[in-house]
Amino acid sequence: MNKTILLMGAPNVGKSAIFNRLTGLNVRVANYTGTTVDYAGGAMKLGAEMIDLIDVPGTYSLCATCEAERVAVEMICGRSGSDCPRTTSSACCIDSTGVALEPDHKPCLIVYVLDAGNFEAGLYLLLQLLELEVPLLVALNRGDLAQEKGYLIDIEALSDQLNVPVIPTIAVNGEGIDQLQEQMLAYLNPERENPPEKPGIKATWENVEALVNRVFYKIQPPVSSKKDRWDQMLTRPWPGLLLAVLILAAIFAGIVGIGMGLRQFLLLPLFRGLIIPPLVMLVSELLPPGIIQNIFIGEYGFLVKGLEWPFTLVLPYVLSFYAVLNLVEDSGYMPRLAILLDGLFNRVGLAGSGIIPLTLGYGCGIPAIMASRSLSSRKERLIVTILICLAVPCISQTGAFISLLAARSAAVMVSVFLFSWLVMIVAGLILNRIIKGDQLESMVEIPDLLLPRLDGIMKKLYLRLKLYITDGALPMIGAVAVAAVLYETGIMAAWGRAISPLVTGWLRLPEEAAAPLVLGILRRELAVLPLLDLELTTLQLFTGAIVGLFYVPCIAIIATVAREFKPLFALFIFLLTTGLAFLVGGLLTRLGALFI
Amino acid sequence: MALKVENLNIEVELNNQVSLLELAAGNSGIVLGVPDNIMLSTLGIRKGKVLHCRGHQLFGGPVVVKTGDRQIALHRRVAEKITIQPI
Repeated sequence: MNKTILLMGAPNVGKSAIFNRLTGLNVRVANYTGTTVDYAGGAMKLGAEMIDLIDVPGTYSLCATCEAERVAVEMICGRSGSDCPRTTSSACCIDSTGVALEPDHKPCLIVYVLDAGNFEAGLYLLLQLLELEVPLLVALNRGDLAQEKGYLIDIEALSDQLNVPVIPTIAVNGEGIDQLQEQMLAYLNPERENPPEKPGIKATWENVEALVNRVFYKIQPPVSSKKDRWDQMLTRPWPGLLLAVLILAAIFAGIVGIGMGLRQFLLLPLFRGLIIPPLVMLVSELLPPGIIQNIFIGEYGFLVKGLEWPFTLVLPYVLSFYAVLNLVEDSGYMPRLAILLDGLFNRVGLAGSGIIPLTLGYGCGIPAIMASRSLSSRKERLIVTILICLAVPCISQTGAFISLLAARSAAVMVSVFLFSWLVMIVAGLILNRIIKGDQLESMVEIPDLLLPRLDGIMKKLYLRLKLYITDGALPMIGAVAVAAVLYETGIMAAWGRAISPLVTGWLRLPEEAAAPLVLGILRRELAVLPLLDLELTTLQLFTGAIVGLFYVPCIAIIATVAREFKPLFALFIFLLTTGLAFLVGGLLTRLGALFI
Repeated sequence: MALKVENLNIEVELNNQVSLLELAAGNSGIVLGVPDNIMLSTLGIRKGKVLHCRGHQLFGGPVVVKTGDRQIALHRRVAEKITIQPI
């Protein structure tokens, strides 16, 4: 078994950025607390040895206040953490003085990441870990930010006080990473001379403050009042709420605008003009006309629709969504939006920080449901998960909506989104009443505003693109192929006839609209895309879109829910979404008929 | 009775103590009493610390305070339990 090195520290100090530098892997980084919610392991070569480096979720102490922190506490203290109650109303604490680490769990080294720009915040956990007598070294990260704030940290004195090496690093540009690796290597050497024993510092706040007084100096900061003024404007209700509306509108416009541009001028000409025609020609040369040929290039031909849908309809919006989201994530705006909306969110049983998983859900529900681990109560997790499954369209589905609706009527598209928010508010109000849980008492740190770095954003975008190709586009091509077979063999038509009372009678859609209801279970956007080629009235478009929106999220999300919660809860989500989709769809189409 | 504030090098008379919720935006105060909560301590809200109130959010939202250079948002129910000596 490889030796294990743990990467630990307070939330939002750059552990994941250091992890990515050390392993060459790419775990997600962002400028807010709770980006890493599960530990991520990666192999790194240290000297001649392969080492398992583990990126542990951030925690301020060995007391877990949410599921993500519990992962961290369990990581260091082994099983003792798992006895803790799953609800976190009573924080799950581990007294560092009484813990004997199990030999299997004992890491051979902890690399402790301290944020030089928020120095005191990480010291308590550091002292707690030192009490556990695990080999440890400190990476003093974000030196650039500290300098900007006018902080001076006496690194030698700090190293001397703690009796461990301290290496200054700036993870975002790679500074100090080589030295960090050298020091880590030195720790693995069995003949390493141990530093002379010194009495440890007990983990108390008095000692933390004494330590700060000894090594930390604040010199007059260079002019940073401009940043502070912006911060105040964004964080205060006035003009913060107005700015929030403008920023959200700009985000929405940016995503739709950039996406439409990419589709119209780049991806559509590329695929329709250059890639698909030669494929169609080739297939019609090789295969005689008939079922087999149609599966390739017919109505649902997966060399036609199977390429057009994922690459010209969805990909443009995947790119534009994540480009904009990365920008917002790295700036530190999300936590500010969260506190502006906290009071309103409280009414639907959520803390403002619930906005983060919900926003991620507009990209994909799976990371969003994972991200809900950083919320502080089980009740919040349940509410956020239900809302995401119910009414937050993923970016693939949004791309489909835009294609289906924007060309016909922008008003219909906007009303689909407005209606989804209305449903979320109503659902939240109901869920807040029926799900039991403690009163919300959120306490959160607001990170510094940072100017996003272009290299960081492009890198994250590239990773998203790769992930979309493997986990989004390829399954979509597969699902279209399945659809092609079902369609060409007549199974789809039979299915359509079978449920036609529901589709034509209740929803008042044409019989062919039964197809998306099957495909939608496989992939969320396929609950919408097949409607594109049907001749639908505006009201039918709206009904179809609404049914697609509330319908079963997709098989991968159901699986995620079953894993994160219970299979029974996943079944509940399945029934709830399907039932509500039909109920609301049928009612809306009747209501709409009164007006049109 | 007076309280000596080390890092500011001043003495403050202990009178008209208020809860953090009552501290108006733009004003500062010293923490006198704080509920025993590990999260509060780690966020830097501890006895003897100077807090600066940045503002109250609407719709019953949190109180935003600054301690040192850290910005913290506290739910009103939490802020209510923190005793402050305004300075």
